Amino acid sequence: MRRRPEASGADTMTLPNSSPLQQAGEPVTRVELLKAFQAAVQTLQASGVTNGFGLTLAQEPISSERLAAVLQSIQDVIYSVSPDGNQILYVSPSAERVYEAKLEDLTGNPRDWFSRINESDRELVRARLPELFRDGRIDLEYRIDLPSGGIRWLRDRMQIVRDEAGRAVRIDGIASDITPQVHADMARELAEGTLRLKDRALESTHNGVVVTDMTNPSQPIIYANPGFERITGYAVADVYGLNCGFLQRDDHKQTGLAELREAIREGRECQVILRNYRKDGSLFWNELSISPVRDNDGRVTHYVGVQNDITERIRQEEELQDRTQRLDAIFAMSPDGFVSFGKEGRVAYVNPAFTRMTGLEPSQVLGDSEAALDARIRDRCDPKAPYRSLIEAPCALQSEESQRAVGGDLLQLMIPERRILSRSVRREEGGAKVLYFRDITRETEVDRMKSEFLSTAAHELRTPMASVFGFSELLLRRDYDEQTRKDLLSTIHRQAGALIHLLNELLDLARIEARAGKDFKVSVQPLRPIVENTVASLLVPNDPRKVVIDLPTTMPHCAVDAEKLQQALTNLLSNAYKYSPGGGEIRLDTVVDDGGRIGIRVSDRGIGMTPEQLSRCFERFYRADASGNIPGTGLGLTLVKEIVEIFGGTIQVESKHGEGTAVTVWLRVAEPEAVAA
Amino acid sequence: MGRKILIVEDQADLRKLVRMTLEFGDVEIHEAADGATGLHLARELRPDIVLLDVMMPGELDGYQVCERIKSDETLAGVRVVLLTARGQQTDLEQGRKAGCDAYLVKPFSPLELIDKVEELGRAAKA
Repeated sequence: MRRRPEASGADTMTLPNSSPLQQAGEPVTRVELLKAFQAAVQTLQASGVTNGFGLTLAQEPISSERLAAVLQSIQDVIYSVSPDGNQILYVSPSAERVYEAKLEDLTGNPRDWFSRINESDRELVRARLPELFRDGRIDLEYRIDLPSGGIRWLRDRMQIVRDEAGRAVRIDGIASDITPQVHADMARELAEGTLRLKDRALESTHNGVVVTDMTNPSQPIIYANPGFERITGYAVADVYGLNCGFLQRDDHKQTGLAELREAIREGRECQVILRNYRKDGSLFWNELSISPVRDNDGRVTHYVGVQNDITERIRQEEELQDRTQRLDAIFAMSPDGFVSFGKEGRVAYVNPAFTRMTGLEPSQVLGDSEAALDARIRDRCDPKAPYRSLIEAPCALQSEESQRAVGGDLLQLMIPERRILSRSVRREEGGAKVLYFRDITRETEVDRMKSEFLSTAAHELRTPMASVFGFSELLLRRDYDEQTRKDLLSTIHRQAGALIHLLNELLDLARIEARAGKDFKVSVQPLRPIVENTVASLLVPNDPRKVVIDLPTTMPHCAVDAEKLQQALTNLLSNAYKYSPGGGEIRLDTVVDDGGRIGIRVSDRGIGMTPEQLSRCFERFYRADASGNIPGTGLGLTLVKEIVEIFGGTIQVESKHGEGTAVTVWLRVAEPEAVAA
Repeated sequence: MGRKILIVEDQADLRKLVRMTLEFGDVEIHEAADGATGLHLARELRPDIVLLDVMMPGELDGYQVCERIKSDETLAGVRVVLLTARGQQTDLEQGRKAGCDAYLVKPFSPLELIDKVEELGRAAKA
């Protein structure tokens, strides 16, 4: 960096003696030296250097010894050149130090002197030299190359010396080494530049920057940058002198504030997140970092606060959290079990349904590797059932049906209870994995019951069919006497009748189940006529007993389908006859309970049921009769139950083995007022 | 020496059908209405052939009776024909596992029954 040469304060000087110095290379006489010195001192004086030496111009002539000593001690290079610039007339000894060269080398060709100027400055010096002849003087600054390889900054002031006639007799000059000043200037400029940069940075940052004065009890803001204005909406000028607390408005209960106050009290730095309010009242989340500024005694004089508006980040975090919570809620409510593995292959999440199904608490399995979880699940499965490890498990692309079809990924749990789970695996890119468990115990059970029902129904149909088929073939192929023929035909007829009965009951059951009572003609009606009709139309062949009816004088109304209720009661009465082959009273009466229900009870004194038989009596095709002597389909009671449940009622069975059975049909009373009998 | 046949079947009509079908010539026919009685009679009478219903009420079903007959050394040579109302593959397999010699699916033709019995009788003599 070049400095602009300053205007010299020196006036044109006139030397008292205009005789030229002797040529360089020759011994210089004392008188000449004295003259030269005087000229030099004048030049120095003119440029203000003299004061630096504490010299004053003596009135009397100075001795030549003293002159030599003074010249030796002057730091600047003093020189004289012929007016045409071709001859160096004098160079002071200090030149040896400044130029790092011998005096005799320096007093040679002035062009050598020119060549010592640093190449970068040479042209400039050459271009400015004509100023010397135009103005009579010049003030230059340039660099010279040193033999040691370094560079030295020189300030070189030259002046044309004229005689009384105005003729140029000499050019005198002083070259000063200004390297230290130049370096100091450069350092200062650099420092100033850096400050300006810092200032610019403060002005342009998106962060808000605030400085508060801590020596003032109200801790006022003494500086705020444009970032502060952008974030808060408050003009910088409006917040000077205010305490930063105005940014919280009335929202003072913030944990961050307490933390902040404590840090300030302890004079340390801290970072907190605060709810702040913009000038327009809107909330923004301020991530504030503060750090103290101390004086030389270590006392905190200022705090610098840097604001970071993290509202958007907080909003995104909240959104993510919200989404996570929603997903968690979905997973928590899901009846299906989920286990998810993190990228590192460890269990990261299990939902409550998984815990319900397997009894494995999250605390047990979180962090488990795939193999560890697999082992835990395997331990809970039926060891007799095939188990496929997780690694072999088919992925979720396969439908549940196809998995089941290939005997796929079904787990037969034994612990905590018998369950059948279908398991599928979904592998995400990047190694994350989700296991999905579905409890298909019920579906499997329904499937099993359905196929058992079909096979039992087929069995029940085949048995009478065997008699019809077999006996009719015997009749066709063999000759029997008339009585045997009649006997066989009546057997065929009876078994065909049993087939028809079974088919009717199966169809009834199927119809009731399929239509769920939609074809029932339910209406509120008195119970008594239905009960009386049932008993009156009951046909029990070869049994002399009559049903003992014990009904109250008033019977309530119920919402029923008369025909279906009659069918149900008929089934109950015919069971009572069938299962009391040894006789005994068959009774029909009513009972009431506190809940506004009436019970129609059919009881017998027959063979009764054991607790085991009682527990199975509603199973389809279940026959309490082990002897095979009592005809029936095993569907009667099932039908009664289906019918009564469509009326919104229940069925209750009490029985004691060897003592008899009582079945009560409970129905809701439709109207409180009873109907007179 | 005549042939001894035991019918174990809970349905009286079916017992009657089997008896009427097979009862001619030198044949002795016995009946039982449940598994336990059937097993007892089999041990007592050592019949040539046992016609055994699969689904019977009581503690022993046909498969169990069949297994016990087949695992009883004193009853070696007794042939068992299972009468089943469910001609499904799994049922037949279960029958084979129980060691039965033949099976008939209800409803069966009396001629079929005679053929089965004849066949087993010849095999026993051979």
